[in-house]
Amino acid sequence: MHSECFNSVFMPIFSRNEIYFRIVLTALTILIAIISLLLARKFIKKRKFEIKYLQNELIEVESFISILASYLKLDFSPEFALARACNEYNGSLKKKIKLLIENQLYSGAKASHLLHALSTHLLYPESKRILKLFAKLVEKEPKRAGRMWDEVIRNLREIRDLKLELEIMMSQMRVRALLLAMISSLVYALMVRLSSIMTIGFSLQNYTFHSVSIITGLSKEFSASLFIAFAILVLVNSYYVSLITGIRSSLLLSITALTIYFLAYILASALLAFK
Amino acid sequence: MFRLYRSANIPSINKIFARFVSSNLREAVKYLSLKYGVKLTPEGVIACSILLSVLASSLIAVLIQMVSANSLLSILVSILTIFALYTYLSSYIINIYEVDRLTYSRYAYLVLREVGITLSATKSLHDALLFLAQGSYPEISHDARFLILNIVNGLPPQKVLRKYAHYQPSSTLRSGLVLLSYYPERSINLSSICFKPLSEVKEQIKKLNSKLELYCLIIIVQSFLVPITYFLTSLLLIRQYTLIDPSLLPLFFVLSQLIVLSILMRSFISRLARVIG
Repeated sequence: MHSECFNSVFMPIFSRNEIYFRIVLTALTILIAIISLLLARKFIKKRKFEIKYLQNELIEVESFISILASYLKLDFSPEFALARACNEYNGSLKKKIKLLIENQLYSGAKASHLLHALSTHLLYPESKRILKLFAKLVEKEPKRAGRMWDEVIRNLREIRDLKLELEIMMSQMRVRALLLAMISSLVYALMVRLSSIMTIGFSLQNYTFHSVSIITGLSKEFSASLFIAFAILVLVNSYYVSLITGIRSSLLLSITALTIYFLAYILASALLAFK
Repeated sequence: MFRLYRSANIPSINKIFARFVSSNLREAVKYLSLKYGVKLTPEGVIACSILLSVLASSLIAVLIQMVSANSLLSILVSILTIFALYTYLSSYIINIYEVDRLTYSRYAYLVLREVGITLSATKSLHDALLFLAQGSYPEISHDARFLILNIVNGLPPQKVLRKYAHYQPSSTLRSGLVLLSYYPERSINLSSICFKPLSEVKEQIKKLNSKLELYCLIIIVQSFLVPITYFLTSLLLIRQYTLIDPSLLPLFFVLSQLIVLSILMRSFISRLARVIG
């Protein structure tokens, strides 16, 4: 019953031997692969640009704070130090700083409040939190903030670099594991499709079964249940791989692996065209 | 899944299942109950695993009996189902715990160092936790936000941090956070807790990642070997014995694979956790 259902769904497709069908199916799969590659390339390019922009913002924030810290070290008041730092700073954040800090500073606003306000207008969370931390230090002990800022920023930079390296290593490992999972689902699909050849091969050598009718019957039943069993294995494997590599969307990965398995199975059937 | 485990918690029969509870499971249940705020008991997890696997296997046995009327086969399949389901269900909780432990351990040093630096600069545990919450550490930053919420609601920061450290799965982070929580009250040498050489940390992380990759490879390679072995042996078996229905053979792959994977996963993750502490 179960294999009949399976056959009624898949066999009409597989039994068509027309060459155009096979060509269309192969072309469609290649097209899907090319589109997904192009999309991935576009996404990577966009992400690279974003990262570059955000990193630049962080460097600018750090250099602005360094100028401010050097004035605080000289025991100037935070507001006076901020005004001097705004004048001296000439980086890409100049416009924002002028708009948010310089204009408000002369109307009596506190330096720590202004730094806090500037942090809300930044894009990179890392630069935001560094500016917020510095604003807090300025609020508590301005001179001490100026003195110890160089050491704090050096340590934070070290941590950030190590974290970035760790994340790169993790993502490389995840990509490799993902590729491995996808390739394994491809190979599974091929194995299931080739299992019918293997059973026929055994029978031709007079090695396994009694008669041709039994062989074909068994082969069909066996292939159907093998197909389902391997689909479950693809699901389980990708779930465990995502678990061990710490990928949070394990369900998405499992579904992707399963889709690849189905596509590869259909493609293999179209290319081999078994009846 | 947690609801399922909770529903199987029957106090009157807990004593029977208490014998099967390992210390690892007890730790995992304690951690997950605190983290997700669900009332789980290790006995409930074991009871749920046993009851569900027995139920599923008997259902499968009845179905096989109805389809092929082969008692030996149905017994064989149901025994395998019991093992597979029990291994999977009982290790599910432990797997989640160990994966979280791995994540915490991976970032433990960076977090301790960051908290140490901000603590020495601001001299305020609240500010240090706020800085950590604004960072993008997986799990840890989220937890820090929750700690801030507790502090804002009126709990003392030291107490909140100590309580959080108490259920930390990573031992490095646990001991470090406990020491840091005493910082404003007692004079603590922050550099002794947080300032480990960077090259050493990098080496440790590299070693951990290469081990993870190796384990992924083993999982995938063994999942090729098991079905191939089954496939070939089944072809040979069908010829001589009528015991096993060929259409049911793939079920054996899946069940055996579930057992193998659950066991592999458990041993891999516990080994990794032992490496990083």
